[in-house]
Amino acid sequence: MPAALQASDVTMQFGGLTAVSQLNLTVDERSIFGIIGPNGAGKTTVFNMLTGVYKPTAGRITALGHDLRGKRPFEVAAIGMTRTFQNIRLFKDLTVLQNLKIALDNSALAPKTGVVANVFRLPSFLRNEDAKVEKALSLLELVGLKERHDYAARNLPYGDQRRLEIARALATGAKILLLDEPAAGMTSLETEQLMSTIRTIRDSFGVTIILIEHDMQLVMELCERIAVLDYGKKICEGPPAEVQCDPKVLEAYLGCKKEG
Amino acid sequence: MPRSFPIIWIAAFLVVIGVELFIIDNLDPYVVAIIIYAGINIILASSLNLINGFAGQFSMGHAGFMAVGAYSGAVVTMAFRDNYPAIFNEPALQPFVFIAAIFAGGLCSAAAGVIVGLPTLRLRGDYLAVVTLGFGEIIRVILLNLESVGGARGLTNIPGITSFFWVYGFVLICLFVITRLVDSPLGRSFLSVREDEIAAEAVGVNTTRSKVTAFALGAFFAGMAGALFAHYLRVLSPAIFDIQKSFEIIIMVVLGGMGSISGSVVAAVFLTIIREALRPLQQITGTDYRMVIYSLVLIVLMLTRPRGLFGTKEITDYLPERWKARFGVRRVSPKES
Repeated sequence: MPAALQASDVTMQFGGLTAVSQLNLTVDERSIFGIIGPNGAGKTTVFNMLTGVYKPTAGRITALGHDLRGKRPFEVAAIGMTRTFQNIRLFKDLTVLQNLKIALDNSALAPKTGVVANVFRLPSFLRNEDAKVEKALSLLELVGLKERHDYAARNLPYGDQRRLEIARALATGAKILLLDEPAAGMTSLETEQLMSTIRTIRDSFGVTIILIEHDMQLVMELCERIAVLDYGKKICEGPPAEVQCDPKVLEAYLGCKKEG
Repeated sequence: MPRSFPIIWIAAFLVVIGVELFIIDNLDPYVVAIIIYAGINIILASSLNLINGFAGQFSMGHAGFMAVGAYSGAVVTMAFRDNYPAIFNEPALQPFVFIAAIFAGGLCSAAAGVIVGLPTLRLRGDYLAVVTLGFGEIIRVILLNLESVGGARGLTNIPGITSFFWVYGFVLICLFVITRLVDSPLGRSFLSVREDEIAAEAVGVNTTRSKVTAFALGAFFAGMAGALFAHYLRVLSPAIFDIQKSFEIIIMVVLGGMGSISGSVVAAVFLTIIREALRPLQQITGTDYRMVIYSLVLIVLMLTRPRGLFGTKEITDYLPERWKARFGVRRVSPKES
């Protein structure tokens, strides 16, 4: 299988602090890849580098055949890689539908129309708007928010806000989806639903999914490969069963020194 | 009729023509002056709302943009009058010169908007406010020292072409473009920048371009308003475009509701009228209490409606559902849970 995302020797330094050090990652197309690690291990920093929020101090990242060097977040989104945020970032005062429309406006999923067509509401603009609404509603149906499309995003319950953020990321037409703690703050029932949603997204959209998560049940059941970070270094990578038994992982999480 | 047909706008335009032809000449010139200033204020307030309310970039230099438009518009018509009097004095051609002058004012101002917009993009909130305030002052001081436009004496003898028709014609153009842009990808990108810049970038919005466009568009219409103003007042002096003027426009936007064009229109008309309406009071009491009452009205309004008269809603949101479709209302306002 070809790699959707490749990071080679990526390092991120903030002054004297090395947040991520010589990280190598290869994520296969259409796979679900997990990044785990104790707090402060550098997981979100990795996401920030992948999406162009931070410029890596060293190393090279390629996604979907594009070199990401010097690309700003909106350019990374245009290439087809989008993220969600650990602390949800929605357009809070806008409706659920508008949240998706903004993503669709900038996505390859919907054609662009010129300013003149927009101001005079020419048929091309109206057709395009209708198509966006339809597309948005179908994405909302997928995450179970169709009925609430005219709510202000800030009025949604927490779990729904997380789902909306995922739908919005999909609406950019992303081929790689980076989910930063998608299950944080969810009940076990909601987590259960989320897992099936993530699988559906991967299967029906052919999307590669990379997720950061502390819910081990989710990570172990969902991910095909897992990378473990500790103090900015990758200490282990492999399928869930392998990672679970790795002594280095146990040490990172539990802090006990292996005897002998 | 296609649902995109702008019937309301055409009707409004016909009303403007009707008023110009049959009503305006019968009104007291003082009343006409208030109506014209209200129109100019509508353009100023709704264009500032584009920057402050929709794109969420708090600009305090709108009088500066207005000044650029006013001076450059006036310079264009005066140059025409002095160099090509034959064209300028021909009644059939003069409107075209005037339209060109107004657009020139708008474009010069938009260029100033880009120049201010670009370096200030890294700034947010209070810092941006301070820089734009500084920009407004710089414009004023430059004009004060520019002898070619009269310096501190100001620019005089500007042809008085602006009439009710011109002002409200451009009010309609401005409102038409702004209300429709707001409900298009460009307008939504403004909203996304206001709501959360990081999220906006993450879903593919080029926030730099959005912000500069907002500044340029807002400045463009402010420049047009300035040019209309110049050709009505017939004299310009840098002192007109001071911080006070910027604040007047900000007050209109805040009072009407940041992010509501209807709010800007209502507030602009209301605030223009109230200052004049309070004049008789001065004659009765013998003291000028106008600003005291004006300020009290503002305080009471902001206490009772902290998000402005309209919040982020538009007048059309209050229409019955079946009317919305007929009037081509596309906008949906969020439902409260």
